Amino acid sequence: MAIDVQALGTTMFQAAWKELKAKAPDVEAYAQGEFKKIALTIATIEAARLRGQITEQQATLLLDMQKSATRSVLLCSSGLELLAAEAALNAAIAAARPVINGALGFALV
Amino acid sequence: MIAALVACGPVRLVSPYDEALDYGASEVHTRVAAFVDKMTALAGKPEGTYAANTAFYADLKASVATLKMRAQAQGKNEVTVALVGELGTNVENLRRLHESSKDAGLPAVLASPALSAIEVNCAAIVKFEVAKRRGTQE
Repeated sequence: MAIDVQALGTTMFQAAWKELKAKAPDVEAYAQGEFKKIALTIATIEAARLRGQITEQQATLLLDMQKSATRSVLLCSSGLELLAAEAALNAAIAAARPVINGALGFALV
Repeated sequence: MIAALVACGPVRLVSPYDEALDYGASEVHTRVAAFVDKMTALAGKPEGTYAANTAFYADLKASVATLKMRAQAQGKNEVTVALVGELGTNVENLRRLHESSKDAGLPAVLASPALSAIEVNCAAIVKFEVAKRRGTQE
């Protein structure tokens, strides 16, 4: 049975998005786009295997490569999440600067 | 606590931008894309066999190993180290694919999905590195 690329891409994205949404909402477009590409590639691997153009071992290697690609998308997303947390923390500190300096009476920050 | 934080300057949860990693990942991508294009054209010919191209994989693995060493040299860089590790995994998978097809070389049916995965690996490294430079998400 042929893989429904659209459905597979959406399924992969939605599963990942459950985890990412609260932590890194800004990576939605990136993750969605990359998962669509990976789903399309998985469908071409399946089609090639069904046509007998590649061996089972080769299909396994190619699918392993798509798994690695998926891990890269998730790793990058988690990194972007860390950067967002860093920016938020520094913004909070910057906002506190006048209060701290004012209370101390000199420019500590 | 806030005073302690601000006294130390901006908080860093992630290592700073590293131009060598940004350009290095882009360069690996360029080399793989050019190689795959060449191998696809040479598929089925003696020049396209794995045996005729083992030097490329040795060079490429060395380049990725250097990128990993560079990433590991910086603190708070676990994500980039893992991303480069994934790239290394897929470079090895590409090599194994090429090796598996013996005299057929690396035909498009193998090369295209393999290149697609490696592009995602490289793009993730570059995207994260660029985000470090900007300090913001896109």
